[in-house]
Amino acid sequence: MSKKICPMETEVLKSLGEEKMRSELQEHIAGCQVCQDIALVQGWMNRFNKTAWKTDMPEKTLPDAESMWGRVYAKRKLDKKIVRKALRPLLIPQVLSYGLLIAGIIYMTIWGFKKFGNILDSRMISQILPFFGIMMFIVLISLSFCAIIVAFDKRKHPI
Amino acid sequence: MEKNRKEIWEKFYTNHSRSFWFYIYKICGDEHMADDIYQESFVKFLKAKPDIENERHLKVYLYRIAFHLIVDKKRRIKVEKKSFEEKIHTYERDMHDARQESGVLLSMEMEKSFKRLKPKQRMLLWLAYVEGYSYSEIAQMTDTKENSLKVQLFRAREKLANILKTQEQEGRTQT
Repeated sequence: MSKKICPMETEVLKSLGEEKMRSELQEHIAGCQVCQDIALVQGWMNRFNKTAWKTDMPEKTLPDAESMWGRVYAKRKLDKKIVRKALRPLLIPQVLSYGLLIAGIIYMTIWGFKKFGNILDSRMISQILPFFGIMMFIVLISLSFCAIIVAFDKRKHPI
Repeated sequence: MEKNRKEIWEKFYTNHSRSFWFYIYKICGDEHMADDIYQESFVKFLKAKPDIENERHLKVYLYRIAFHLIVDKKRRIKVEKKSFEEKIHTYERDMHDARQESGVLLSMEMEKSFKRLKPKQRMLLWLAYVEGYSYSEIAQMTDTKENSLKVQLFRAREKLANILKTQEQEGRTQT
């Protein structure tokens, strides 16, 4: 199997950028295929960069920093508007569900607890309740696990 | 705070915007696509509000965004072949124009050799030998493990070296 990596790579790369190269390094390059390729490719890439820059870049105009900054903030505002517009149809069911929840809480506090207590006293409910509790616990644990994964993933891939 | 961010941004943008655009252009080979990726990269970069530790970290972060965008548009990179052929055609048409600079021909020939590599190979070679990033930085930018990156870079380098050697031999036989 041919050698893919040379321990002297970094040193060779550094010295290629300098005017003078140490004689030991010159000797090493002469006998090392990896370093010979590095020297060849690095030199060529730099020449290519310089020539292409001269021919491609003078005519190229790019937006300035100020306009790019402004563009991003305008886009952010626009994005927020789009999201708000897209979520508008969900607003009615959302308000309705909150309303129902509040109504339910009011009903339970004023009239419901007594009746609910009677139901809880019944034998069947007392058998089901622990099982229901365990199920809820499992659901909660898996939901929080999912939330942790999503948060971790977002941190890992912020883009 | 926001003012400070803006000042740092302006300095960073002024220092690196042109070389960043040039890098994208050389990798995807299409000016319009390079413009799109360039703008999208900066939008994502500013939106993400990265921690401003030092300029090099910011640059690595920016190049990482660009890498993901280039990969996303990989399918559209097929366009490059067409645009390059168009470029050659336009060049050949203007070949007799005495005003053509001698550098253009050299640049086109070099570009032709560079285009024989895969986009990812071009990217790795550019980052390592033009921008001068270390293995760990390139691995971070391209979401690759360092060991696998070393092998990929070796293959890219070997391929380009072989292309250059063959060209040199052909040149010698012609003369």
